[in-house]
Amino acid sequence: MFQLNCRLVDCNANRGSATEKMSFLNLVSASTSSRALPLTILDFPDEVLSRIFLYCDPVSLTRCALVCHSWRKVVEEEENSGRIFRSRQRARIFVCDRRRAILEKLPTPKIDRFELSRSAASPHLGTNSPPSKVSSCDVYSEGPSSIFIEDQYANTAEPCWAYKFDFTFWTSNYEVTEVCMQNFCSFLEREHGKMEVGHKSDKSNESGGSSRANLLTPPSSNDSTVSLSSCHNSTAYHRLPSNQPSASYGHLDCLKEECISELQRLSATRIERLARSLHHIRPLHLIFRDHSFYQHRPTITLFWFTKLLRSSLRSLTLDCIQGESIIPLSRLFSLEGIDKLTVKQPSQRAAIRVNIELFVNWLNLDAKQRRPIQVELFNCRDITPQSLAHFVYKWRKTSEICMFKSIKIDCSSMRVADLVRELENPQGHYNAAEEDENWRPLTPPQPALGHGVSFYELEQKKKVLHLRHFKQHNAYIEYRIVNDTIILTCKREDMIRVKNNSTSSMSSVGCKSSSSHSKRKASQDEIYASRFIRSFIKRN
Amino acid sequence: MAADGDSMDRIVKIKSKDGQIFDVTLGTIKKSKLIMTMLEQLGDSTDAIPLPNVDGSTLKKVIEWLEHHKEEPEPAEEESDPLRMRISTDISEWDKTFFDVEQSVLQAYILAANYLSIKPLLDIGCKTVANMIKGKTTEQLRDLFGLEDDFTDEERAAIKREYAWADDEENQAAA
Repeated sequence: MFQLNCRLVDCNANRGSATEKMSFLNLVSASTSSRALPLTILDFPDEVLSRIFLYCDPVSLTRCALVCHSWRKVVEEEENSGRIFRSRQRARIFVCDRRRAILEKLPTPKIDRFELSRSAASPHLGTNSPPSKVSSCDVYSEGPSSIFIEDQYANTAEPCWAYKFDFTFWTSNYEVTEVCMQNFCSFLEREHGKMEVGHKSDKSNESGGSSRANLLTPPSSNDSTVSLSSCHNSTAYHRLPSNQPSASYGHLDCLKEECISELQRLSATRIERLARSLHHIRPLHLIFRDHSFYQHRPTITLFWFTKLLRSSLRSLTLDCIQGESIIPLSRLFSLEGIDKLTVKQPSQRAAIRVNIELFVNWLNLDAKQRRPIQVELFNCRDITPQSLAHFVYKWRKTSEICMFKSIKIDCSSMRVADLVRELENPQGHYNAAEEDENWRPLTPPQPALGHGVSFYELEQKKKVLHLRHFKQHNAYIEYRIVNDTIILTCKREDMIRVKNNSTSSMSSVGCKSSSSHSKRKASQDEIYASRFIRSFIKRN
Repeated sequence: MAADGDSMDRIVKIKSKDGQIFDVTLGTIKKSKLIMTMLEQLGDSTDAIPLPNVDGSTLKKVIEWLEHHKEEPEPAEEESDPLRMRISTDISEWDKTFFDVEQSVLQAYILAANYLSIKPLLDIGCKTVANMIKGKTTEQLRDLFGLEDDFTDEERAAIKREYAWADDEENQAAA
């Protein structure tokens, strides 16, 4: 009886015909439909995949189109029919403070999408016709800088309003990877006095901010002798943040359990709330940018927040982070799973010290956790030529090659001649223990008055060094200076096309004797001296 | 065939791929367009309707879902605005629990819903998968669904050019 005009549903065969929508007429007779293999998503016919994609946001669709042939084909078909569209615009979330966040459009080149259906005929790019459904995401950004798109405010009428944002719509429609935190947790600075008093006297804590604001005449300004005992005086002046003991959170210098529990108390769920609102952004690039010196905000707060987002974090930028005490970065942060680290140090009161242990620890990571990292350091006088040479030496000694993309350091924060000397001496006599807890970076090297950069220094800047791995000679670190930036790049000869050998001053470390080096230095100094004298005579 | 009034209590027999026979009321099974069309063609026959693409355990769960939702009205017309479709990925708690199963079982439910033409069930299944896709990188999607990167070198190069502006992860996925 049941002899309907049915045929076997073969999902794979069915995949090409998106027009055959849910029709029972296509179904069954069936003994052959049973499969020995477990089902995977490949068993979905095209019409089901299309339906799934209809419920996906533009950002998810962009990723789906990169998964495999069959998914891309369905995404393309649906996009051409105007039912779905992929994200086309990069953007950044800028968290101004607890109350406000901004979505900024980032420069995005016009996307020239290739189509699978056309790629057979023309393997090169084909411009996709724009989808018929135009949305805000289809606007191509132009121009060099970010542009305001929209902002959102936390509802301060709610009891737990701080950092209460909903980024779902932004992250569903725009390619958001960057999140910039301006003056992160600066409110802790203002709350500091309140918390201290709250600790000591519940009664005074209840008084609230408004009653204190009426009592703000300092008994004696610029009193450097203000100490913890002055807090007990309980006058409004003594409760001002600037009068609190400066190192009250000095013990919060690592991410151990007791520190975290104290941070949780300080946060009062606010920082965790912000982390939750960002957890679905992946890959995540976190940028912390300080515009002021924060005496009372524990620097570790930044790294605790980073830890909460660790699973999706791929890039970290620390821009002028300032604080009362200085903490070695290796104690707070590991480069596990990180693609890029950028540190711009402030000219004074840096809250973190970029120490070489951070990178040595990266060498010791498990291969699965260690990604080819890219490091950019600006004004980081914390990294000395000796310590950097120590890292290079350690890299050369590793049992397997630890590939990294590059380490860039601006020349103004390191004397190039010293670095070259250290790199050419592969002994690695650096001792981390010499740099104790209170070690502060040295004053930046200044050229002697009236002399400018020495000729020798200029010569060193032209140098290119290849520092080969001790065990696997095909891998090496290339040192060179480009645009006043020291660049260490990790390379493997089997991955590089042999181009030309025209690098005039290239040398391979270990081939050159120290005596010839010193002779050369002496002759360079002589040349420089004679040139200087000639120019001096000419000027006068 | 009439599908209202007392006829909703009519018992319909359906037979799974592995030979299990289920008795369901017409009121329960009415959301399946496939079965309703078959019943129209079969007339008064009381033979069990064979469903050779659905196994017994899946069919049992589908009937359970239909029983739970039998009082709900037929869904309105297909949502024409894709923007509205995308934001309507909310799923009721009962359905969330229903679809909180292994991936292979979830796919069996979706395929059964597609085969039986039960649109509301298919929609919830698709929403569940869309929610699984959300927030994943390309590589994570491949891992999650057991898919292979089958792009040719030429296509990969084109994808890389397409996403030259994107972050490294996208490039790595395409590379």
